[in-house]
Amino acid sequence: MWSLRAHDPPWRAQRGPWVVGAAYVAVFLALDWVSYIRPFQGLNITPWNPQPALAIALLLVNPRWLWLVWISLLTAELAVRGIPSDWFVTLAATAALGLSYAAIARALQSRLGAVPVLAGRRDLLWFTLIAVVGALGSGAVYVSTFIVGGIGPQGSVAEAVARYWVGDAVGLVVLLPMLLMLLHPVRRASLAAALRSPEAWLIGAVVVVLVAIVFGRADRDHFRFFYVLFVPVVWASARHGLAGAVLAAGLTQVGLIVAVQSAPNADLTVFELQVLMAAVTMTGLMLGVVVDERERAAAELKGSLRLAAAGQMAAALAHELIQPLTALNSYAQATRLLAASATVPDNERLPRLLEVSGRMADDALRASEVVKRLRDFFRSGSTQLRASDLAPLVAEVAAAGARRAEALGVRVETDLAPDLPRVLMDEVQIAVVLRNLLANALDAASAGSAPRLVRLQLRGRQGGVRVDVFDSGAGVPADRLPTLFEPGPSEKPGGMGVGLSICRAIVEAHGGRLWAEAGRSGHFAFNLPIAGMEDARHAP
Amino acid sequence: MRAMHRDTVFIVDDDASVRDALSLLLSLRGHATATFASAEDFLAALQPSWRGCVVLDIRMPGLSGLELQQRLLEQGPALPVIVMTAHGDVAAARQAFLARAVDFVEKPFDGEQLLATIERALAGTRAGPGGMSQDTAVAPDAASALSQREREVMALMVRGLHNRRIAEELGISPRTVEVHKARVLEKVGVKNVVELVRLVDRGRP
Repeated sequence: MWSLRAHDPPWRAQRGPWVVGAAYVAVFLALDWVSYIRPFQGLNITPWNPQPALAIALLLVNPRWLWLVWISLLTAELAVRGIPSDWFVTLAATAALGLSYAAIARALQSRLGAVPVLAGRRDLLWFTLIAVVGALGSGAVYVSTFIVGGIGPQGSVAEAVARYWVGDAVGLVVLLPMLLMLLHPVRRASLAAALRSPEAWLIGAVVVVLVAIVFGRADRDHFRFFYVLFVPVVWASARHGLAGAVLAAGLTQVGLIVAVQSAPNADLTVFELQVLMAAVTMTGLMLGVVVDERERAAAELKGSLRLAAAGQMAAALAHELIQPLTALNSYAQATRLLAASATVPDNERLPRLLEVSGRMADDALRASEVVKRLRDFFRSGSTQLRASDLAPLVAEVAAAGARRAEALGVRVETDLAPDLPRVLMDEVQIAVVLRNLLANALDAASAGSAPRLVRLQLRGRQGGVRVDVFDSGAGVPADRLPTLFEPGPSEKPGGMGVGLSICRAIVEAHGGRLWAEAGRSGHFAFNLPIAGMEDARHAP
Repeated sequence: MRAMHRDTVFIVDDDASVRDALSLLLSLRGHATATFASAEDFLAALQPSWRGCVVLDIRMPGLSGLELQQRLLEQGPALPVIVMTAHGDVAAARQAFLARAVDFVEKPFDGEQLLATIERALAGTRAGPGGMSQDTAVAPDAASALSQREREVMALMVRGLHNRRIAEELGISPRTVEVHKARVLEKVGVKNVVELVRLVDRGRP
């Protein structure tokens, strides 16, 4: 299960801080250089501004790196846009930008936790709000610094701020979720898992093809078919949640910028395209977050089913423990009475006390037997579902029961179909089920008439694998079926009475079913679902 | 120590150790005992001339303890019944009381308490039918100390409903139910719901 709300920041840099810092500056410069396209009046106001996301991610890791952010902003100005006309204004503008990034990082942490993760719709809402308001704020701060310095943009200030706003906001919304995921180890793993699936590469190819179709046409109306770009992003989000959303949106953004830059006509309205890009990204993020939430809910449901199984087992075991404890308690009180009794002759007292204490010892053993079985069951820990083959396990259990079968005069046959698909199971727990069913079958067969026989059969059955345990014993009468699996008294002398209820709880925790067939000979069966791609991915 | 009398304590429990231990304990206290491994065995052996009381387990394969109690009631002037359970199950306790059980003991029980209950049951048979309630119902002052809401919660508690159901029924949160429950138990002066059932239902006809 994911633990998204980690208490310690999991992103503690393993490499030296200087390596991280240098890598940050290098990537920041590269991003600024790549994204310095179609600047507005020579200022760093571009339709796509991914580098603020990187700076904010760095400040999330460590707020004390604000100075490094300032350095990177300044270096980028010099490296990408050349020697500034007014040093003071440039210094002030970059410092103001650095502070506004720090404010955005701070706001994200106060709303989404020290380790911001987009774990739900509420998180996404706050993230979007902070990104959009923060981008507007840094745009206003940046533009007004230039105006105060007397070298502001000509014409509408509002237009300059709006353009800056769109570029930054789209940059944040597209890139920052991906960076947040990269910073979180669990989320990083889900990104890697998404990248490993062939379907993700297919979606990527579709993005590339669609971008080529939308922008490769000779006519200029690129908006007419823009909406088809929603399809791969929605597809990726539905399949891989937030990981799919950020990857697909990121690729679409890159494709869009490449297409715009390589388009022969220069007057593409890139700002308007970027607003559409924001809509594509938000759609993907919203869908991805909901998909993630549903996956988590499904995993939690599985967990609670396991808990229910544990509760059922606890009830069954409590019942089995209370019987010997009740007997022990009564025996103990009886010994007190015996020792003090005036009606018991002295020469009888000692042998009777010895006899009672012997029975107490028996019941204490019986109680410890119950505890041992409980321990054996829980030793496996929680259910660890793994795709594995059932046939070797059945064969192993049958072999383990061979000696007991021989002692009871029962022949055990196995009939295992070859090449069955693998099932999702916790081998230890399913072994408990198999052993229990085999032990019951052996008992039933040995109590019946010859030929005494137990048969374990394994077959593939519609989307699952089914195990049948037949025995030549008396079988289960139909009227006993409804209560057979309830934790309750055992009908076998010395029996546990909990075996079947535990077995059923285990099988149901695996998403399977365990049942008995009524008849004149014994027949129990259970099935387990085949390990599919979907389930394997959800399994904790 | 009591003098020997002709009354017999009939023990019906599917667990051999429990039967044996209980019968030993009771015989040392001077009671005649007879043990049965199932309700069916007991019914097959039952004679109208039998006097004494029945101590039976609720959970048994085949006919359950409660079903046996019902059969005994149907057969006319019944032997008084004491019900044992390993479950602390409120619904079963209530059902047992409504079928006029003398008392309800949770396993593992305190031997002295069970002996006292058995003696009361035997005294009840000698005193004639229906003479089993001595300390009637919830003490009136405790009951009047309960608020209206607490009384509503108590009524649902003794029906064996879980917190969530009670909350749904009364339109309050499960957490609030929890608080009310604790207050009811405290005011009435009992440790758990089973004891509450014992107090509340014994007062009924």
